[in-house]
Amino acid sequence: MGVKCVSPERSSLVSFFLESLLGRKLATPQGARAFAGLDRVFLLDAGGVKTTLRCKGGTIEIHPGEAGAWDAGISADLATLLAVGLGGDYLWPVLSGRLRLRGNPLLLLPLLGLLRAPDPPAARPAAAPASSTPPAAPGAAPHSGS
Amino acid sequence: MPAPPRPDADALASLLAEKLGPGQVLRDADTLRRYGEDLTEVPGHPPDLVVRAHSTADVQAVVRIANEHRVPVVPVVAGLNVGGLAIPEHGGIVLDLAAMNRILEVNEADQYMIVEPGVSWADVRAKLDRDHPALRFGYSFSPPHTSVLCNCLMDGLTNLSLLHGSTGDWINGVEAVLADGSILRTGAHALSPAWCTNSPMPDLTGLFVNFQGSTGIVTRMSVQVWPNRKFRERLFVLAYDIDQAYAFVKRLMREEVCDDIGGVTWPLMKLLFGQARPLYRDPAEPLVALYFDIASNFWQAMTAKKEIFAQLLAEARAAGGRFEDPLDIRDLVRIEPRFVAFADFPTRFDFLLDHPGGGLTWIGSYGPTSQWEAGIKAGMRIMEERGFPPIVVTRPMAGGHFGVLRLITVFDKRDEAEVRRVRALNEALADLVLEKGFVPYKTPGWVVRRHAKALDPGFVRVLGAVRNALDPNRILNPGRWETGG
Repeated sequence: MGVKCVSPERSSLVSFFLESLLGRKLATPQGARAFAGLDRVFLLDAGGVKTTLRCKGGTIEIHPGEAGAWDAGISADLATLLAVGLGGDYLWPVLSGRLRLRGNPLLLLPLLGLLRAPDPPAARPAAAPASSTPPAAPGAAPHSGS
Repeated sequence: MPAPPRPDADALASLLAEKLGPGQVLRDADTLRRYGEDLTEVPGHPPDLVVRAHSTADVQAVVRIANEHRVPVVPVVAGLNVGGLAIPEHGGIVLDLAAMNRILEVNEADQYMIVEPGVSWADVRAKLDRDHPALRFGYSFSPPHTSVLCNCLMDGLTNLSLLHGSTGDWINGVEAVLADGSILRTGAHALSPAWCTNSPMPDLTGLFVNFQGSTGIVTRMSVQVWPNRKFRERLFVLAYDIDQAYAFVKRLMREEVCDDIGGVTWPLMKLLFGQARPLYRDPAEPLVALYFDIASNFWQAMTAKKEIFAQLLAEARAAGGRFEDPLDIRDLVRIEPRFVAFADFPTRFDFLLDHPGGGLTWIGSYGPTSQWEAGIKAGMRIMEERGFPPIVVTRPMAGGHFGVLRLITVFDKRDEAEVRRVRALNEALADLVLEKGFVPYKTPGWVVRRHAKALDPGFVRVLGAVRNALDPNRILNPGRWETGG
């Protein structure tokens, strides 16, 4: 089990994000379940930056660019993909045209399931670095430092 | 009168140990080597000895002995300056002020604090959060253990510099030990018990700002602090074009919506992911990540500011600009925990400091934001042509009256050929920024020497006269701002 950028020196920022994000999610029971036994190749197009994910035997290889034939793909702008990676809904972006599915959409379900799997607790930041919660009552929110 | 012969290191160490105690004078080879080099490409040179000062009286004693015997004195705290400014290139004494690390006063009513040289960003943050949560301070991108006082004397930049300018402007006054061992106090405190402003006194504080320790050794400083803000958000926007990105930044900086605005180019983000030397960029990738801090004590103001931000971003897009939707830093940290380095201050950019071979240098400069785009593009081109990742950091300062253009290089200090290439690169980058109207800050001695002929002759004459008046034997950090005056 694991996720690996195959050519880091030729990889995009999206590849590094995916390596880190998918690696953490694959380590969770939900992520592992979503990906168990998968043997597929996916193409991700993030605002024109293409990345190929080769999934086999519980491991994911991340290749820069369109590396050979693929079974299904996702195209979206970077922010939409990151929002899905944060556990956001993907149906509305699909319906609104911001996220486009290519190939057989059913084949994408394990990948989308993995992207939306919760992070393991240890990977979550210990504290919110900034304060933006509206006050329940005037003056109720604490100071948050600089 | 001819100068007396400089005593050898043994004799000097005896004199100093007699005055201060033997434990404060260090001479072992490892210590001398460590104090004789920094992270940069500037050649190292060991001091003859290192003295650790614990008080202003210690500083006075060291300076008096050094002045009497014409021995150079180089003040230092963390030793992480990125410009070779604390390398004792003429040997002599390195005076380590790190143990003078007290926050002597935080005056909440008059919004200032008095710090000694060894007080770090982390110390200030901890003190304010614990005892004065209604106050905030600005923080640089320096490591948390580095000196607040040194940054102010070097006129540095922080996350509040868009609001309040460079940190030299935050100083209300200093206590400094002059070359003859006497003490000078500047700012209103020269006349008044309060130390809340530099005004309306003649600006003698300026004699110590950007002089790089060559006019006196500052042992205390009063520096401004500001009201804290209950609500803060940091937004990241990825942009694909330098001209479009900085048109948006300049539009926004004039609206007084943000506490801080900054930009970092793509290789910095790849360094964060552990890439030692990112040179490849997919043509479809963003070129620059812009960040924006929005803060207020009032939720209504936060809402209004964010609406203005969104409107200006929409206008930039309507004008043809390509930008990703804003990402809240907390979401970025959820996607990639390493982004916590960009989330709060003081920050810890270990991915820069821990580069293989340990080399870190930059040409950081202040100059006209009208020349930002040209400077960024030309700087990136020069760095890429020479095989270095084009790392550029920018920030508007003082309401946008000027801006930061910082061209950063990480390199392998163990590789002599690479060090030579970095020296040549920095010479080319210094020439470039000056051509664009920017002036390197924390100005390295080699930059001053390289461009001395371009300096105004009157400036050279008066600078020389000031230094001769304050330090006639030129013992204080020699080699800094040596213009021939």
